[in-house]
Amino acid sequence: MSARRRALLWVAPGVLAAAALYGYPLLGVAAYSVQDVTVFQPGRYVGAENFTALLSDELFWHAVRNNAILLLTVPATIVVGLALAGLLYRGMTGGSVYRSILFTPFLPAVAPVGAVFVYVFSWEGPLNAVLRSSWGEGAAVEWLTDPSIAMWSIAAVVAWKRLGLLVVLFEARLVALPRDQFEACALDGGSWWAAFRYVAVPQMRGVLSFAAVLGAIEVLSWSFAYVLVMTRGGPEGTATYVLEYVLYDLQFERQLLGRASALAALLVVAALALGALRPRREEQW
Amino acid sequence: MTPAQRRRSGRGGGGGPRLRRGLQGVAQHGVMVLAAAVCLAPFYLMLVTSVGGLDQQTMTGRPPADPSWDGYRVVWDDLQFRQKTLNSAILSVASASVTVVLASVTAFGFARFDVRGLGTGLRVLIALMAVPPIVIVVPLFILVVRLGLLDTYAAGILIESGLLLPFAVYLLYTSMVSLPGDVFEAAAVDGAGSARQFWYIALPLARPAVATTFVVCGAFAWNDLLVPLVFWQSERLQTLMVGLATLQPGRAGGQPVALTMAGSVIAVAPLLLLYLVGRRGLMRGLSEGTAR
Repeated sequence: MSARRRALLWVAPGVLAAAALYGYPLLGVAAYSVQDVTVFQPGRYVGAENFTALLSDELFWHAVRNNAILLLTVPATIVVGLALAGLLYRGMTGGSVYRSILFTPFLPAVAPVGAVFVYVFSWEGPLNAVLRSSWGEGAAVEWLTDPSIAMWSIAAVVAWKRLGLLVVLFEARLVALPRDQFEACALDGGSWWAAFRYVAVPQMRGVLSFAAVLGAIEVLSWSFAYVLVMTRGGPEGTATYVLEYVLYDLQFERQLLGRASALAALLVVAALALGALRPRREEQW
Repeated sequence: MTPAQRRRSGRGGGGGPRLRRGLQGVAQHGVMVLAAAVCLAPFYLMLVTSVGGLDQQTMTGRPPADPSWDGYRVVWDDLQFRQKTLNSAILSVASASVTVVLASVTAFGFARFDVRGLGTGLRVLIALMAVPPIVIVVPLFILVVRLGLLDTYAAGILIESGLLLPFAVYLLYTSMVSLPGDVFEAAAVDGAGSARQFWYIALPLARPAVATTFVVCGAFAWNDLLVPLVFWQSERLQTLMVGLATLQPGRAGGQPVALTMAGSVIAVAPLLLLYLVGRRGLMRGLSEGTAR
């Protein structure tokens, strides 16, 4: 048997499984996106109708705006994560304990996390209790029930959950930097901040852009569960719809599979484009 | 000085006056304590509220004077969280097993053969990690319904495994490609075929990576909401996450908060215990896997 044939035999199980579970659905999405298909009825070709219907749907643009709000968590968590990683790297007693604690929110599923925050954010919940006792009765906020605030509350939970991963990644990168540069900077009378800002951060471009791309993909592809658990898309019906939630709604509630597939196709293109931005391994760091 | 001592003495500290450095240290701890409190508070509230008894409608944040296990009892027995825990465990272990078997064979092929076209195949496979799961769920749902496989264990497990596959191949590939090549060449000279090289060399040497992949995939499947929500729609097949998502929230009040929180503790506890045991290994795996 030639090396080529043997190689193909080894990779065949994974490649076939991926073809069945990704290739087939992706082709299906492409095909359905130009048909008026439903679960029980095969569709006819309708051209770009699904796309035009989607793009003229106000809910679609509302969801784009909500995804954009979630996207703001990416720079926010990177800045805070970098600062915390810098503090850990600077060295402190109990540093490894702090690191382990900061990473903890990354572990649990979105469902229990969302469940807790629904009660934390509720009108009579502990967060409002703290606000009331500090600034009086008027300081309470309708975190999840005011349509103009709810999306920001969800974004805060997304940020809470992701921050620790970034701290760990950033600190690992800092530790791998050559130490003598910091010492040289110190000898020149530079402050710790100067060393961090002008010596460390420029060398972290790779890990920073990795974190940015990863965060953007997460916001686009993995925010469905937060919305489902915390608000069901509400308040006022659709205030916290994100693109994935629109897709879920089109598919399972309104049963418009064609339009759902059109949205799916747009999401895939966006996600793969984001994925292609990820720095290659060799030039990564 | 040991590295740890050097670390504690501060890096690039600039040698300011001792008082200033002491104040900076206090501020540093202040920031960290605040961050740690924000990270832990939801877990604390979850735990404290879960033993608050069944007549509590809101979360107060105060530990109850006499803790009550009623929330756990009702959730576990009456709300069938026993069955849901079992379903979550089945989804988690079965999906992780299928994924690791498929991915280790595939990763070995990609890592040990230098054949044209293989690199492109690997890149495409890894790029699939970015595809939003909800996208592939749409056509797969139609397929599963038409095949009559909705509400079967097989459908959920196979689809969950498929979702995990690109990530698992990526993790195992990075480990297997860094194994020393001369061991394999020596084995080949001794007449060992690729199957023996896989079983007797690659797998044992990559054991830490295989274990990490299994645990991470298992945690992922345990935590997943979308796949069981869509493919296991019958009550009998509900997982913990689906149960929590449908049980809660008591936004309009009505339902004892202790129930949701007890269910949440059940969903979170296995992962936190695993983390307590395997923290060091996980941190090392994470920083090696991504920061290289």
